[in-house]
Formats: sequence, C-alpha cells, structure tokens
Amino acid sequence: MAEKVNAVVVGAGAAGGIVAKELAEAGLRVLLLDRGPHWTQMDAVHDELMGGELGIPGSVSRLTPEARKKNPRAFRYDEDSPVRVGAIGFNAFAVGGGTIFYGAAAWRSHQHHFHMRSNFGQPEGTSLDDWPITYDDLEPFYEKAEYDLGISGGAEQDPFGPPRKKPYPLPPLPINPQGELFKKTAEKMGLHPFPPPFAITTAYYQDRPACIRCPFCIGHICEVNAKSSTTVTVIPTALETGNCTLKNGCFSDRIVTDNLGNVTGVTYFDEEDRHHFQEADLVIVSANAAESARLLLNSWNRFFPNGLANSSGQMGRNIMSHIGANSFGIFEQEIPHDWGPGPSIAINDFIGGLGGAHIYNFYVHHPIRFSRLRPPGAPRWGKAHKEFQRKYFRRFMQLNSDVQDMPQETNRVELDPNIRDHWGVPAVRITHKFHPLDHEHSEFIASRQREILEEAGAIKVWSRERRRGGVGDHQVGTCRMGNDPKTSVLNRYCQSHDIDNLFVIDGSCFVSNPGHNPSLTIQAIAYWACAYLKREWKGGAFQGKV
Amino acid sequence: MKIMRRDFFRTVLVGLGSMGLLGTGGRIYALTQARENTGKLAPGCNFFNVFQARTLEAICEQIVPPDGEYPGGRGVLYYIDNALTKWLAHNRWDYLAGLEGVNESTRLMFGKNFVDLEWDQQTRVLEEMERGKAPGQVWTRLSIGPERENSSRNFFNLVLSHTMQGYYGHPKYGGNRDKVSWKMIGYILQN
Repeated sequence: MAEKVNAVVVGAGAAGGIVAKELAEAGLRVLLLDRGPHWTQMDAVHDELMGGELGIPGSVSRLTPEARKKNPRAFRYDEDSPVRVGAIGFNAFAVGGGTIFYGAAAWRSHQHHFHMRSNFGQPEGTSLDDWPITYDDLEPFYEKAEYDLGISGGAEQDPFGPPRKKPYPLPPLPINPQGELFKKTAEKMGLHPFPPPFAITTAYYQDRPACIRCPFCIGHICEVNAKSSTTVTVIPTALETGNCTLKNGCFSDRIVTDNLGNVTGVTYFDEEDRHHFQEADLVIVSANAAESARLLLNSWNRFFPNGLANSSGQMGRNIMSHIGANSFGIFEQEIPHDWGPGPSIAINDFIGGLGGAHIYNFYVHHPIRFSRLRPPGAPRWGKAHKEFQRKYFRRFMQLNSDVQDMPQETNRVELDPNIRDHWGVPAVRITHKFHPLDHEHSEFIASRQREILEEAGAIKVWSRERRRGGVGDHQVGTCRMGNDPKTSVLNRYCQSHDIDNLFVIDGSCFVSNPGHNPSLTIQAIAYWACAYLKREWKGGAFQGKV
Repeated sequence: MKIMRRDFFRTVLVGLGSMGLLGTGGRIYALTQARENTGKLAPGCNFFNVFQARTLEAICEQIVPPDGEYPGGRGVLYYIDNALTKWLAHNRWDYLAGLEGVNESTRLMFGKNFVDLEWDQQTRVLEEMERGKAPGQVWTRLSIGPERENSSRNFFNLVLSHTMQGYYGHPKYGGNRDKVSWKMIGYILQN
C-alpha cells in the first residue's frame, strides 16, 4: 500500500493542476491523479482530422475506440425523452483537462455575474441564485491566475470590463484581417471593440516562447507550449517542488470514509486495472461537473445514502453549459483567415442583463469543418455544395458568443441505473434541456451578430440552429456553493458543508454560468480556495471550518 | 481474404457477392450475424470487396462530383477503406449493411444495382436516403446509428461525413491525392 499523503487531488485539469501546485508549494505531500493520457507538445499534430476537435475516435484530442467502450455515458433531454448511450462527450480526457486542447479564452467574469438573483430575480423554472462570493473577493486571485499561468490581453481598451488592479502580464495577440473588418464595423455601429484575453503567450514568458499564430489552436495541443495549459505551467512547477507525484491513466472510482464519516482517501484503478487505496488527510475532487458529481454519488455510504456529502440533495443538480450563439457571413471579397488563433476582436457591449455575452470573431476554420457550415436549406453535398466550398472558403466569417443557460434543478447528473463502465462503476446519466429563456437570450445575441455581419457587408448571413439541450464543454454546476448547507453542497471556499476534509475545487461549484468561457473563473476560484486551505490547514486531518 | 483483427464475435459467412442465392429474409439474417467481410478484396483495399468498392466509389463521386479541373470524390473510397481498418473500425458493420441496403433500394426503385444506374438515377436514390425514405427491408429491419424507423438516412449521413473527411482531409489518410481539394479552395498554408 502506498504511503499516506496530505492531499490527493482527483483530476489534473484546469483547477486540479493549480491545487497540486499551491499545496505542494506550501509543503503538503500531494498525489495528483488523472485518468487520461499525458500529452505533450511532441504529440501536437497540424492536421484537422487527427489533431483537432472533429471528434474522430483516436484523434489526439479524443478517446480511442477502446477508451470509448470503457467509458460510456448516458444522456437524455428530460425525463420523458429516451436515454441515448454514447461515450464521454465533448470533454477532454487527458492530463491538463480542457486546458490542453481549448481555444484558451481567458475571461474574468463581471461583477453582476455573481449576483444574478439579486439583480434579475429567479425566473420561473430556474434555480438562479447569488454566489456566496463576489467579484471583489476573487479579483486578487484572477490576477494571480493571470500572472501564474501567462494570460495576454488588452483590458484597458474594454469600457465594460470589470475593475482590475494590474494590467495583463502580456500584451494582446495581434489583430488579423477578420478582426480588422469586425473592428471597423463595430466602431461604425457605435460599439466598443477590443482585443480579447487568452491563456496564450505573446512574448517569452516563464521559459515558454510566444505563440507562432498557427491556425491549429482550438482543439489542438500547442506544439510550442504557448498555450498556457496547466500541463506546461503549474503542473511542472508542482512536480519540481518534490512534494507532488502525478499518476495518469488512473481512474478514481470511490472516496473512502471511516466509521465517523470523515474522508480517509480514495481508491483508484491503474492502467493495468489493479485497484489501489490511497490514504490522505484531504481529498480534493477536481474532475469537473459531471465526473466530480459521479465520483461523489458513487461514494455513497450509510451516512450519505444519496451520495457522499449530499445532505442537501443538490449534488449533481443544476448542471449548466452554454447554449451559445453563432452567426456566419459570406462576402464578395476575400477575408483571409490563415493565422491563428483566430479571435482577435471582441465586444462586451451586450454582456449585461440576464443573458448577456461577449461577441468575438471565431477561430480559423479548416476544410472539413467548413464543409458542414452552410446556410439553412443549402445542399449538403453535390455540385452546388462543392462550388460553395471553393468560392467561399476564403470569404467567410463567424461570430461566436457563449450565452449561458439558466440553472435548473431538473438539469442534473445521476448514476445511470443500467449502464456500467469497464470498471463496474455506474456511468453518468445527464439530463439536460435548455430553458425557454435560454433560447430567447441566444436569439437576442444572434440577432446582434447578424446585424454586425450585415453592416460589415456580408452578402448572406445566417445563424446556427440552437440545440435542444446537452452539456459538453463549458460545463459547470453539480455541487453549487452557498452559505446555506440545506440548499448548497459546498461553502464559499469549495469545502463540503458536510465533511471538513473534502473539497470540490473545479467548475462544479458554480451557481450560475457567466456569458463568458468559464475557465479563468474556475482557475481563480482554485487559487482562492487554496488560499483558504493553506491558511487553515494545521497538518493531519483538516480541522478548520468557515 | 485478409483476416481482420477481431475479438470475441462469432464469424458467419455472408455471401454478399452471391446475393441471388439468399432470399431477402436470408440476407437480413446473414447481415445481422455478419462480423467479417467476404469476397475478393478490391485492388488497393484492405476491407471492401470489388462489388462494395465499386458501389461506394460511385456514391462518393455523387457526393463530391467532378467538375472542370477538379476531380470527384471516387478516390475517397481509399480513405474510407483505410479508416475502417483503424479509427473508424466501429463502423465496419454499418458499411457492410449499408452498401447492401443501397443496392436493395436501387433494385426496388430501378431494377438495377447502384453502379449500373444513370447519374440522375443515382442522385435520386441518394436523395431518398437523405430523407430517410429509401425503400428496402435492410433499412427498416436493421438499425444503423441511432434508433430510427428507416436508417437509410443514418447511413447516408455516415458516408457523407466520411467522404468530406477524405476529400478535404490530409492526403496521408488516403484521400485528397496531391492536395487537390486544398488547392481548389485556397487552403494556402498547407501547400
């Protein structure tokens, strides 16, 4: 049996990597577990099919066919819809989590995003609520995340941006032809364009070079380590302290408790399917949203028959992602989009309100993906389809926004009653459907996007059809934080209300999902929670409480 | 015939090349048991036999037709064949059943196999499949993809998706020889 550690962190992703580093630097002995492979820059592939986000099984960013069989997942829109079984969906499955493949947008949430209920009430059918923390609580930790990881941006040019004490450590990515067109058009319309923030270096930073602006960003591993993934920033730092061990290919199936209901460690399967028990003073779950809830639900015991630390009944509930809004335009003239990452201009003019979001021009499009982007009713194959591909590949622009979805108690994660994975653990069953308000909000933003594209001179403009439901990337919620243990799973420091030495530090704690990509907020919360942990930990089993 | 790596499924011979010997019910039964392919391999292929390869080639050529100086999609056959032995291995059965279904539909609609139809007739068949209305017992008795009444639509979408991958993807996977499609659209950084 392995030696006891002070902390075991389940999930080496956006938050898990930070937790490992913060605790290791503070002198705690940490075991960082991840069930995925450990990709590096040597695995980067400049290839739309195998390197990126098309979802080809066996592509670098996706599960191999074998891994898909071992990791089933169930989904239904609501209780009346049939259950569909597939594999883990649009989520990373690797050390670094989403940060190894993502488009690296690195937004701070705005002040109102933490007080949605106070500002807008609780719409019927939603569980919208205020966070137990404010933007001001997190501001120093956003700054820490930005400097620790290497975030680039031009915040001073955004009149709607939240207040900040220090500028970004790196200047923004350079503008490109699509950005120029968007900027010119936005200014003409009285909007306020600015360069958006990214977890991408723009100059030498902490031994990493600047972005080379290749077109293979979103969905791809960065071949020069300019993408500030946790695999090239905080995880190596954690390992260098000598206090942290990383074990990948290890799937944690259960959190173990003693007869008094305290957490004593986790069990996990290694790559040869051998089962291990790791004893620890603290257990930190950082598997994000669906998988964090799954681990906790599967760790039920006689004290917590409905899932570990679930006295509130809220575990697994209120899962959210982004309904989003996407609009497309084709033009008479070429608008070259050859240099990445792609988004170079954003506007926050519509960030306010219940369903506000930023709008930015999108990542570089590649041929296979482009073959699927057509106006409604246009042929999907044949001569006309081929002509469109030829004519408009270089005369095309997409505007994108992350419109949030309202939290709903019925949108939730449960253990599927029938389907088990390779290790015998019940698969996740996600129930998720967007609220009517989400569709309204998405349509509002899509209309603004279409107006901009028309004003920019597009000869034809259309918006993507909205989904009925589904959570893939940008998923948050399932263990919402709050001050009342009866209605929340975690306190304001991501500590379980029920069990002192159990933390869930990842996007699961979100009460609502801002109209921005959530990653940097997840990372700021990780630093915030760790500051509390480091302050309160006195060695041995955790004794502190808020 | 090349024996493919297979795990624990039973193998039952399916005489796809000798369809005349089995009634429709027999064909469908045989398809439900099929886990391996039969018949002489088409040249350049590691999965499809000659009849399947010619059929699939013709379908791909319809999906991306030749026009002017730009070739059609027939060569994507080699991408799909290659992919079915590796990262699309889970779709092998879908292709065995789907190509059988295509020919059943064409025989019901026009009395001939797909490869023997006129261009416009082939287009017609594929349009019916895209709508999920192609006739034939294969489509209604076998499910390809998510449960639906008529799975001709699922098979069409599968071939469409794979054809675009092969035609517009990197040549090293078997399609888009000489990067022709990339030159066609001006995907300049890759040339």
